[in-house]
Amino acid sequence: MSRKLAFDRILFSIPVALSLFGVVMIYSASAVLSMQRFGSPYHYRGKQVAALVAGFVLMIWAMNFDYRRLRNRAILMGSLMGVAALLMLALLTPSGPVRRWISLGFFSFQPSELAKPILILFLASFLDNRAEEINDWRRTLIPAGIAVGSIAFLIYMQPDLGTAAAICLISGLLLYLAGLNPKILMAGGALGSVGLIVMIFQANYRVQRLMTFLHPSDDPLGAGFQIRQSLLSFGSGGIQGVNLGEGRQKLFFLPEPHTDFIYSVIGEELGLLGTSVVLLVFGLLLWRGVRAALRAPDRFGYLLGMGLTLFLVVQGALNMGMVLGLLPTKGLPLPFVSYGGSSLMVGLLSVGVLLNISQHSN
Amino acid sequence: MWQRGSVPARVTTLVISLGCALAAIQLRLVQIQILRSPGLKVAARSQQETVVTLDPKRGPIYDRNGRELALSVDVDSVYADPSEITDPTLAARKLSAVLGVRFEDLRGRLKSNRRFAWVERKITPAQRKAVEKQRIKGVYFVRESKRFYPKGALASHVLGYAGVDNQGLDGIEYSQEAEVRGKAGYLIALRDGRGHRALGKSERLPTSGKAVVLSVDEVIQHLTERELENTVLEHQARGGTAIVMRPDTGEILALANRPTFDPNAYADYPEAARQNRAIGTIYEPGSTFKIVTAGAALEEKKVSPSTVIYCEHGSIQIGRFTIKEDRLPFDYLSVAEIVEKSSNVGSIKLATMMPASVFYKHITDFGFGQTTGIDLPGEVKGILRPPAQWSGLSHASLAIGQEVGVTPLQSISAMAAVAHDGILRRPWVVAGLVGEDGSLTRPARSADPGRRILSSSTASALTAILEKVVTAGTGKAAAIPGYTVAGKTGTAQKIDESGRYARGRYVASFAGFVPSRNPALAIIVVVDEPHGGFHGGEIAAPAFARIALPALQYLGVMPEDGGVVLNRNTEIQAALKGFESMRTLPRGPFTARPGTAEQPAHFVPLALNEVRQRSARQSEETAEMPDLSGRSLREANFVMAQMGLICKIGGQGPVVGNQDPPPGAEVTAGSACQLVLVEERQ
Repeated sequence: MSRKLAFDRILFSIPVALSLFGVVMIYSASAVLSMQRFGSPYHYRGKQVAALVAGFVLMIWAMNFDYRRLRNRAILMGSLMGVAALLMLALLTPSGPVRRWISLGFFSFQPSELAKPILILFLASFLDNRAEEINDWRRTLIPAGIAVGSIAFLIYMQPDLGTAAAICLISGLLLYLAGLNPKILMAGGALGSVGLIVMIFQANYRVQRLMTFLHPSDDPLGAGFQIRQSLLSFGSGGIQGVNLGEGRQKLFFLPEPHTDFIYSVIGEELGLLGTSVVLLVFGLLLWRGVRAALRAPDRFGYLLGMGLTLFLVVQGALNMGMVLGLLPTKGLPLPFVSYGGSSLMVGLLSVGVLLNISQHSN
Repeated sequence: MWQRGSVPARVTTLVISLGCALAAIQLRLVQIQILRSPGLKVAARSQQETVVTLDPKRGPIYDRNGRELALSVDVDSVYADPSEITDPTLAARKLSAVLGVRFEDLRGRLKSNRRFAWVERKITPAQRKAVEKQRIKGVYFVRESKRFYPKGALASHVLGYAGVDNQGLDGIEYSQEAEVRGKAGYLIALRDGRGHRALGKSERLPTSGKAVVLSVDEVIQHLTERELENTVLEHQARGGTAIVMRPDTGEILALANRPTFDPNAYADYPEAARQNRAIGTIYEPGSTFKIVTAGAALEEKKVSPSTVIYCEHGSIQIGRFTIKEDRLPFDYLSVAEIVEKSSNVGSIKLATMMPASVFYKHITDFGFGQTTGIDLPGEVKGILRPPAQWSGLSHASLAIGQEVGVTPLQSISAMAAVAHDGILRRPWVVAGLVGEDGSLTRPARSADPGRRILSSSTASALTAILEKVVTAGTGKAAAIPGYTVAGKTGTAQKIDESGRYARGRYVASFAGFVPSRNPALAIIVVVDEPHGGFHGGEIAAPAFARIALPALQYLGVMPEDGGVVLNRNTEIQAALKGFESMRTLPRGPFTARPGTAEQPAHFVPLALNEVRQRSARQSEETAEMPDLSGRSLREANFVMAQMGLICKIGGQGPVVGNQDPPPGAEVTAGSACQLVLVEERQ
């Protein structure tokens, strides 16, 4: 066991900066909306601050034990089963057509957010165990497929195709890093794409979103509304932005400006300077995360670190690509910045684990 | 595969791929936030902001004594935000039933993708109530200014009319559009994504138009209209015109036409009724033109008034044509008698004493063949061919007022020049423009001294001849007890479509001035196609007298002989009969002012200063904005109207929830405010 080092201060400051910045932007984006829904401008900001405090505690906690202790069969299987159970519980909770949350009274928890790092943890350990037989169908691929597939299916049923697809994508990338035969990976990717298209066409609203993505100007007030509004926000901001709090697009033009479209609000209020800095910080996260993973003392740490880094950066890139009209809108939050307690806490927890890994580098 | 410290190729690949993805996002950001930013900014603003145009209040039009002839009142208009209307067909059916707008048109407008569509402009309070009762989402009201002519058809051809967008379309409303309209203001309201309006700040307040003070006198206008009406009715005429002008200044005191129209509902009248015949139609002046002929001959010193001319015993040969007298044949007549008795042969002989070019020059000096330049739109030049285009008959025809087309205004201007010592003044109706701040502009026209077209002695000689026309000649019916009238009758056959004289269709006219030696008024009456007679002397001359007498009394012009005692009050009451709006007459005009030889002082000064003070008072007055929250729209509108505030209404609901400016703020009349309606009392 290598000696414990000081944690990566740059990597530590990234989520702290992003989430504090997120609180500011959430307040700006949601004050009017919050007033409208709850009679107080502070509703969303308050909940986000509470989640930030809790998430920070989780992060510190995750930094302060040897991450290799997570490689316990009971923990791995237990958390995987546990999260699957929670996902099913969410599906069984009769609260409208979207069954994404489990209400804990004071706050609603989104098990699909937790599923991402748990699946990564499981895969990192599992794929390390199968290092020599990575291309073995019976020993490796089918079990991994079952684990990933069942979790993704439960999330898809919520329905949240975006998160399900993101989970499959990150799992695929982990398999690739673990040394999977590129042919199998490409075949799987092709199969997944076909499956995605089939699923898209099963749900009418998804077809609409896709069509909107392909031809956004066809219907400026209908399905293309979201992308159109998002682009108007970015465009209004220009280089310098209209100043913090001065944005107008958040006044019911942007759908859910404090969650999925927070980047559009940043674009309008802080301009290209603001959006570029956020993008740069995600680039920084990629660099420090990969650096930490590469310096991990073991292959499990490497895979876990890469997985968590990819999870955060890929999801960030997907969100930014979506709101900029480069990808179909699927409903993924911008890690650390978007409103959402589960996402924030899970993100901070993940970085906590990454920092944990970084402390074991040389 | 994996070794600590080394960088696996797959990690490199993956990191490079992800780096490319992030770079693509950066490029996209540059594209959207720099390259496409200007266009997107415009598009965003257009959905976020509603520019509400604040219509300016059109300036009022006053008569010379400051009485209102045209003013602007606030009325409701209905508009819709089609994006908020869920069922355009149903909404269109409901609204069409209530407002009488064509269902198909309305449905088309309500189905559009735009965020604004007029439903109906300028509705009545009852219609508004009915629309409110329908409770259709997305239908709103806005206060608009509507032109109102309190005296109806009075002076309608001078005033003209303004359209639904308050744009001047004819008359003074048109010619003074730039001054009267005012400057529009705008209010930029912020809007949110659900179409709700947030309060915006007013960027520019509208500037009210200037008030126009006319030279027209409401009382004289009224009695002119009345007598013209009676004359036209009595003779079942096709139409008619009467103009009352002040010879020494050129100002028009009254101008009336028949048929006429009510500018409050101008669209209901045919084009012919709206036409200002006084300046827009031409007729052959006939005998009236003999003044021009005689004046030219006198001015050229070819003859003196007493020169005797042989009148060929009733007919004269011009080339192949023979021209006869209208009635009796004459042998020897003096120049004065030629005009008095309206001898055709004598006039032709006078005209032919001059070369064509000289005669033509005098005709144009009198103002014929060109516009008078009055400040009203639609004036025509008339018909006057230059000598180069004359036929062998033209010189003779012109001498007796044929082959020439003139407007009634040209005729009365020429007559007024004789009255005003031979000086032709340009006629005008706009005495002054008064700004909201009380500033006064007098049009240059009113200060134009005019030009001399006849020597003093010629003018005086013609006046003597014209006096004789009334005392002993064809115009006896124009005589007024106590005053000396000078004037000339005119009777001309109309020309039909084929260019021939139309049998039995005449234009009868009388133009004259009074008192002849110190003229206060020059008046022309033209009657188009009268029945039961056609001579100017019997049709138009009596109307002249019926207009002139009460006008002189109203103006306090003392009878010249001093012997005729008039019960002024009774006469004036008679003159004003049926003129309800005049119950409170100002005292000024009743004070008799004896005129002097140099300057007739029959006229009270124009009420320009009074109007100025009134305007200045209005613009300086500030008031405190009342608290309107919780009040009904009706109540709020009433309060706003009393304070002269321009009100924009947003939101929907029975009571006012929000207002801008806030209660207690200082507001001035004419400024804008906005009220937001809500569902419940707060």
